[in-house]
Amino acid sequence: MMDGQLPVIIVVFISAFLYYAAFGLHFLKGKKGVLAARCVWGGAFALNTGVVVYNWILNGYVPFVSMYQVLTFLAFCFLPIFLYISFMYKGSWMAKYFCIASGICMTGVGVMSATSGVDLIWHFPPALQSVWFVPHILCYMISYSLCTVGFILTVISFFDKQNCGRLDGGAYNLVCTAFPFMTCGMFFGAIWANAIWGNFWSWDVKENWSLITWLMFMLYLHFRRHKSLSKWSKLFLVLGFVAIVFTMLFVNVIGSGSQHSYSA
Amino acid sequence: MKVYKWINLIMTALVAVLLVFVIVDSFFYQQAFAGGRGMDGIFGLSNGVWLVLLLSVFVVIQIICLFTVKPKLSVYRIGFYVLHIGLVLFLCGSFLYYAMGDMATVQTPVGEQNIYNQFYRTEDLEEGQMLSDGEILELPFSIGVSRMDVTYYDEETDGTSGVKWYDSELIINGSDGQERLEWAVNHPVRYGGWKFFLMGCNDTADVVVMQCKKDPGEFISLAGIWMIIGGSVLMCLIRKRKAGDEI
Repeated sequence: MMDGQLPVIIVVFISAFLYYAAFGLHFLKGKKGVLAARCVWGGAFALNTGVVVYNWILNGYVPFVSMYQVLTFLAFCFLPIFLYISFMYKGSWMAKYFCIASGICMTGVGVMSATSGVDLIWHFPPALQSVWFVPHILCYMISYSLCTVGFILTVISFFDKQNCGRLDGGAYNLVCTAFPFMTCGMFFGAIWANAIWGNFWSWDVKENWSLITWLMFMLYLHFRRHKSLSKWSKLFLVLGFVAIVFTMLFVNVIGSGSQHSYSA
Repeated sequence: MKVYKWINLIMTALVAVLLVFVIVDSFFYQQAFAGGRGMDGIFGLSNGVWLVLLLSVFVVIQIICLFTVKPKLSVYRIGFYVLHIGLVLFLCGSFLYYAMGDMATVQTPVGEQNIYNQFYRTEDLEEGQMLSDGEILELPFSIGVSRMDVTYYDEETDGTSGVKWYDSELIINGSDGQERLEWAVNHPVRYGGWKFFLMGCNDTADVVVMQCKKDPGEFISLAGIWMIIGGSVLMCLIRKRKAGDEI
C-alpha cells in the first residue's frame, strides 16, 4: 500500500458509514430526528469534501480522471443537488434517498481502494487537457446523481403503493432536471471529440453505452407524457439506470479497448 | 395523440435494435473488451450503410414530429422545435460528411525538409508500425512538421509517469506562401477546408501521427449540437408544470 493511502481509505469508510447513519436517522420522527440526520449528513459530506479537495491539491487538476476520483466526486454531488431539488421542488422528503446514494458511492470507493489499492496521484494525459474536460464530466456527474435517486424512488414505488404517486412525481422531476445535464455531458463530449480525434462520434464502446443511457431516459420522458404509454415509462427509467452502471463502471473496469480508457 | 404514440413505439424499436447491436458488440464479439474499437468490428456501422439507414429513419421520425405538433408560443414548445430541428441538423451534417468528407490517419517524419502533399493512409496507430492499405491521401497543398517536443512527468517530483504535453509546429506550403502554425493535442490546425489533428508520436519523437479531415458538414453538426443543448434546457428545466408532476 502506498504512503497516505490508508488514512484516505479510513476517511472514505467513515464518510460512508455516516451517510448510512444519516439515512437511518431520517426515519426518526420529529424535528430532533431530522436535525440529527442533517448533522450526521453534514459530517459525512465534510469528510467527502475533504477527500475531493485532497485529491485536487495532490494532483493539481480537477480530480475527474481515475474511477476513484470520479466516484468520490459523484458521492459529493448528492448533497448540493439535494439542496437545489429541495428549493426548486419542495422535495426535502427525498433527503434519505440522497444520503443512501452517497453512501453506496463512498462504499464503492472504499471497497475498491481497500481491495485493489488506489493511486492517489494520477497523470493527466495531454488528451484530457482541454476546456471541455470539466464541463463534460461535471454535467454527467450531476445527471447521474439525479438519475440514481430517480431510480431509487422508482424501485420503492413498485412496493409502496400508498405513496406511489408522490414517488413517481419525484422521480419524474429528477429525471427532467437530469436530462439537460446528460444532454450537455454527451454533446460537450462530442464537441471535445471533434477537437481531439476529428470525430463527433466514433462508436466507441463507452460512447455506445452513453448513447443507450440517453435514449432510455429520452424514452422515459416521452412515454411518461402519453396516457396509454405512461405505465411502461418506469421500465425505461430502470433500464436507463442499468445503462448508467454499464457506462460508468463495467466499460471502465472490464473494457480495455475503449478510447475512453484513461480512467480505470 | 395517435401519431405521438406510434412515433414513440417506432423510436422504441429503433433503440431496441441499437441496444442489441451494442450488447452483441460489447459481450459476444469481444470487440470492446479485447482492444477493438466499438462497432467497427461487427457491423462496420461507423462507416456503413446500416448506420445511415438507422439514422435516416430517426431523421424522418424527427421531421414527422415537427409537422404533427401544433405551433404554440410557449417556452416548452419553442424548446421542442429547437431540440428536434437540432437533431435533424446534427445528423444532416453527419450525412454530408459521409457523402462528401474524407479522413485519414497518417504518419510523417519530423523535419523542415519533410514537406509533402501525399501520404499513405495508415491503419494502425501502434508505435513504429507504418502499415498501409496502399491508398494515398492527396492534399491540395503541402504540409510538414518542423518540430515535435514531448514533455514527460518526472517520477520523483510529480509522483507519476507518462507524457505530460505534446507541442509541435506545422508548416503549410499553400498558394499564399508558407505558414508556420503552433500545433498541439486538443488544438487542431484548420487550413484550406482541412483540419489536422496531432495524435501522438513515436518514442524518439521523430515520427508524428496525425489525423487529416475534410468535413463539409462540421458547422451544420455543430449548430445542431448547440440547438439540441438549448432545446433540452428549455424543455426540461424551464418547462411548464403539468398536473401530476408535483412531488
